Amino acid sequence: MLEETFSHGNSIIHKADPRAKLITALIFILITATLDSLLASATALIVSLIFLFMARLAKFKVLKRLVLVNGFIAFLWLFLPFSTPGETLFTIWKLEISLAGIELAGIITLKGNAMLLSIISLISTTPIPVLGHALSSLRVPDKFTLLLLITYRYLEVIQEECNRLTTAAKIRGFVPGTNLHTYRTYANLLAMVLIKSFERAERVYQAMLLRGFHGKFYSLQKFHFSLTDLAVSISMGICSLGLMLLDYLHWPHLLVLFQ
Amino acid sequence: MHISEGILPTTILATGGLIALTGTIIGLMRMEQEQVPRVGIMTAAFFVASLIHVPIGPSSIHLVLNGLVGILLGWACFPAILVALLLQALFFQFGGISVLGVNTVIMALPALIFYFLCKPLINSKTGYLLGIGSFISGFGAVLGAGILVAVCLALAGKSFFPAAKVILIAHIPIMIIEGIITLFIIQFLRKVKPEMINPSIT
Repeated sequence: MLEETFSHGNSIIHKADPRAKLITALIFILITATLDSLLASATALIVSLIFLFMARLAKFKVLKRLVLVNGFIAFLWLFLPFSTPGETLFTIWKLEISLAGIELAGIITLKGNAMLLSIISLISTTPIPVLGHALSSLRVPDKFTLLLLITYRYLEVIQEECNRLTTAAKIRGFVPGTNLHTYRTYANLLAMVLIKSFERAERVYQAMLLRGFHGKFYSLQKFHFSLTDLAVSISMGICSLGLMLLDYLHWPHLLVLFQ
Repeated sequence: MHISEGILPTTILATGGLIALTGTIIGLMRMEQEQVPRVGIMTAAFFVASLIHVPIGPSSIHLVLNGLVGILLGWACFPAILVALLLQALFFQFGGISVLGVNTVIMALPALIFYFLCKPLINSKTGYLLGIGSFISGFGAVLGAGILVAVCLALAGKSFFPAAKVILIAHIPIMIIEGIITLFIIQFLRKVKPEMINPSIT
């Protein structure tokens, strides 16, 4: 269930320095978040598609993921075309669909997906333990990366424990429904999971101390920032700046200037 | 419960990011070295719990439990929720990176507020006061999260008003179920492991 679907591969992106990928992704995502013109958002999507292409991920899986996470955006499409004031494009059942509304929803869809694709191709292509060490070498506080790594490490363990309890409940004839009994059963089950986690944490910490832990996990993997990484980061930086410029110039308004 | 990428304007993203950063720094500072494994493993437990679907009528909802996170972790709920949301963004691409701060605030701020409001009730020796306190925390933390999502959307522009209203209304059944489940969980913990209810990270 908790698979890192995109973390393994043999592409240029998978082999790149995780720190370089993380920083370029952050710059690209943060700049894309500020865009508010259709053209700049569409360009951002194209840039992110190039990265997706370079990461050579299973296309069907990426598409499936995109469909899943576009739920919120689809939900907004139900409202924005009707609720945005502006020039009416056409009318269905007395509901006016405005051009401005379509444009707003379009911008959100384009830049939202550009950001999602860049997360998939630049951040999710690093396994999470490696990402933790990359964060650490980028001077993120040790306590935070430790928290991330421990949470990641125990997700599967606790998931398994939770499944065991659910199976036990099923064997005893538990069928979930909309009633207080169901809620009480789930609550007791979860309370048990929490107690087991709490007790496990004590044992884990003692085991860590026994092995000489003092505040940080060390990694044997050394990161190497190569010339390719430099070239990719710089071109990505230029692309992001270009997006900003494109957005600032606001193409439709620029066309008005020429008329 | 999350807002996805590409929707909110820069000012809201930046404000959310700053509040989340402050909360996380305070949470990390109040956490002792030896508490980090405990917060981490509890975060994993909450992550797993939020994958459980509870039936309601013909449909089902997944649990949020941010109220419970507040009661059990205190100030550490900020870093814990941040880590959980980061992992969700990395595993499933739910939420996102630029909205990570906003989403953390949406979940953690009400959790923390209701933790402090209900602390006297939850620490009381009387069974029913504890019950009331834990119901209010569970209910209120989701109510607060729903309100914050709606406010963020409404601040993004007038055209988002109808969507914000629908989201707020959709949260009502979740609030009630969260209140009930938080109440039962706290009652169980009080019987079986009472030391879990008073976090030393406050």
